[in-house]
Amino acid sequence: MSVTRISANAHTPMSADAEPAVSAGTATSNRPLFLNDAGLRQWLLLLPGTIWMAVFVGIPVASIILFSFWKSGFAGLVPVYNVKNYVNLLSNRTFWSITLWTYEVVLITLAGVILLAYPAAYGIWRMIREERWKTAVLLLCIVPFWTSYLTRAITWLPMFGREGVVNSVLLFLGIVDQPIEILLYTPYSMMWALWFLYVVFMIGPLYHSMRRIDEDVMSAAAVFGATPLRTFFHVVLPLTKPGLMAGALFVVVLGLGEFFTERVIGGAQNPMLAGLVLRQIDIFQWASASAIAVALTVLTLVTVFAMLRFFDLRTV
Amino acid sequence: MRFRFVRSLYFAYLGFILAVLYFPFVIMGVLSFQGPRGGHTFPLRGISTIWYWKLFHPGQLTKYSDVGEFLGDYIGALERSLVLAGLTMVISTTLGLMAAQAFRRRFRGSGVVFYLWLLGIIVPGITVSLGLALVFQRLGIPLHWWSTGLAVHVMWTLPFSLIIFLMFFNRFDSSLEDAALTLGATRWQTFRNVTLPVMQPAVLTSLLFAFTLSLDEFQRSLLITGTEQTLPLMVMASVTTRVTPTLYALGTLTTLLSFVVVGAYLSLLTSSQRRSERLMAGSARPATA
Repeated sequence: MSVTRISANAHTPMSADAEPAVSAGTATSNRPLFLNDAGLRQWLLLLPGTIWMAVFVGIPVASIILFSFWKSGFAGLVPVYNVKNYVNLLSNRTFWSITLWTYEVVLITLAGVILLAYPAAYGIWRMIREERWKTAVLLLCIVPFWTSYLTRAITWLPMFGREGVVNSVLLFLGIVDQPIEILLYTPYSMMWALWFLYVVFMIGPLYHSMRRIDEDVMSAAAVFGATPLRTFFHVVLPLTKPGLMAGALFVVVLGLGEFFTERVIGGAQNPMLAGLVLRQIDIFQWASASAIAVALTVLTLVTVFAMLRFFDLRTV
Repeated sequence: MRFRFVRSLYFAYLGFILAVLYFPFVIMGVLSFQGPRGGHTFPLRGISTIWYWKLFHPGQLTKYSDVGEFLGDYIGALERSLVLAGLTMVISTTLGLMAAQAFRRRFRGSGVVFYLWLLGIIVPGITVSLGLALVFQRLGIPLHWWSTGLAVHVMWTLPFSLIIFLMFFNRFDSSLEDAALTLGATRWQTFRNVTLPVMQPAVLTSLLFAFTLSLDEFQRSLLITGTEQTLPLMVMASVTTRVTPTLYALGTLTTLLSFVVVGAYLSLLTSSQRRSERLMAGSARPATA
C-alpha cells in the first residue's frame, strides 16, 4: 500500500485517487467526480466480469435446482412441484454405487497423478543442471495442456485397440498369441488415459512451488546429514503443498465432471455421475437429470470446499 | 557415483513420462496416412492421403466411404471454433485484467466475489450446460455458437484469466505506478504506459489460456451451441458414432496448430518478458542511487 502513503504525504493532485474510498468525497480534481472515487472505479472495473460470471454460473445452477423439483413431460419439463426425483435417486442403489465409483475413479486418478508428477517435477528441479534444459523439459511436460483434451483422449484408441500398437507389439514379440481384449474399453484403460491426461495439470504447479524452496534449506538438510528420503518428507513435501493442492484441485474438479474419457476409452459401461446426467438427457428425463446434476454439483462444491479449508488458493 | 546412478534413473523416468505424453500423438500422425481400407489398425494397411482429402471435402460420398462413417464438415467447424476462440480470448483477457486491477486493492466482499469467479471453474460443465439449455429453451432464446456458445466459453476462461493476472500482479512492483502518478500522469496514462507494458507477459499468457481452453471446450457448450457445431462438439458426435482415420488427420492438424500457437506465444513471451524486466529494473535504479 505504498501508493497511498507516498502520494498522501506528497500532497499531489493524485492523492484523492490513491486514498481509500472513505476519503474519495474530498476529491478536488476537475476530472469527473465518479472516476475519482476509488471505490466506485474499483466496482466499475469489477462489474462486467462479475455480472458475466454471476449470470452464466448462477442461472444454470439455480435453474437445475428448480427443475429438479419439477416433472419430465413428453414435450419438456412440467412445473408440477414434487420431490420424487430425489426420492427415486436417493433410494436407488445404482445411483449410490455410481457416486461411489465416481469418487473411486477421482481418487485413483489423483493418487496416480501425484505419484507420476512428483518424481518428474523433482527430477527437473534437482537433476537437470542447466537452466535452459530445465525450462525445456518442463515446457515439454506442460505443452500437452494446451493441445486438445479430446484429441489426447482419442489417441489412446489406436494405442490400446484390438489391432492397436500395444497388441501388435505384444504379438510380434510373441508375448501373447491372441490380441488382449482388456486393453481398451475397460476401467483399466480409462485409468491409464486419465493419469496421463491429468498429469500435465500437476507437474507445472509442483515444479513452481519446488522452485520457491530456498537452496539454503536444501543444503542445510544435506549438511546436517538428512537422507534424501528424509529431506523429501520433512522439507520438500511440506513446502510443495501449495503446488500439490493447486494441481489436486484441478484433477478433482475436472475428474468429478468427467464423461468423455469414460465413454470413449472406458467403453461407456461404467458411467460416472456426469455420464449418468447425459444418459438421462438422452432419454428426455430432464427432471431427474437435473436432480443428478444437483447432486454432482453439491458433491463437487463440498469436496472443493473441504480442500480449500486446508489451503488458500490466492497464496499460489 | 551413486548420485550419477540416481540421476540417470530420474532421466530415464522423465524420458518415460515424455514418451507416454507424446508417443500417442506420433501414432495418431502416422495413422492419419492410413490406407483407404485401414481403420485404426497398426501397422498401416497401405499409405494414402485419402483421410486428409475427406477432411477437406465433407459430405462427398466416395467409393471409399465406410458404412456409418461420420461425414461432418470438420473444416467449417474448425473455422467457427477459431473465430469463437479469438473472440473469447479478447473478451476474457479484457474483463479479467479489469477485475484483477480491482482485486489489487482489498475491498469489502472481495473474498466472496473471488469465489464467485472460481465457481466458473468448479461447477461441473454438465450442470452449466443442462441448466442453460433448459432455461434458454423455456425462454425461447435461440442457440448459436456466437451468442450462447460465446457466453459460456467466456464464463469458462474468465476465472483462468483472473488467476493469471493476480499471479503476475503478485510480483508487480507498484512503485512504478506511484512514480508515474506523482509525476502527474493521469490514471489512464499510467495504466496505458506503465502498467500494461510491464504486464504484457500476463496479457499474453491470458490470451493463450483463453484461446486454447475455448478451442477445446465441449462440456459447457455441449447442449447450447445450436445446429452449427464447434469442432470439439463435432468430434464428440463423431466419436460416439464411429472413429475413422479422418479424425486422426483432423487431430494431427489441430495438434500441429496448437504447437504453432504455443510456439508463437513462447517467442512473444521471451521478448516481452525481457522488456518487462527492463522496465522493472528501470524503476529500481533511482532508488539505489
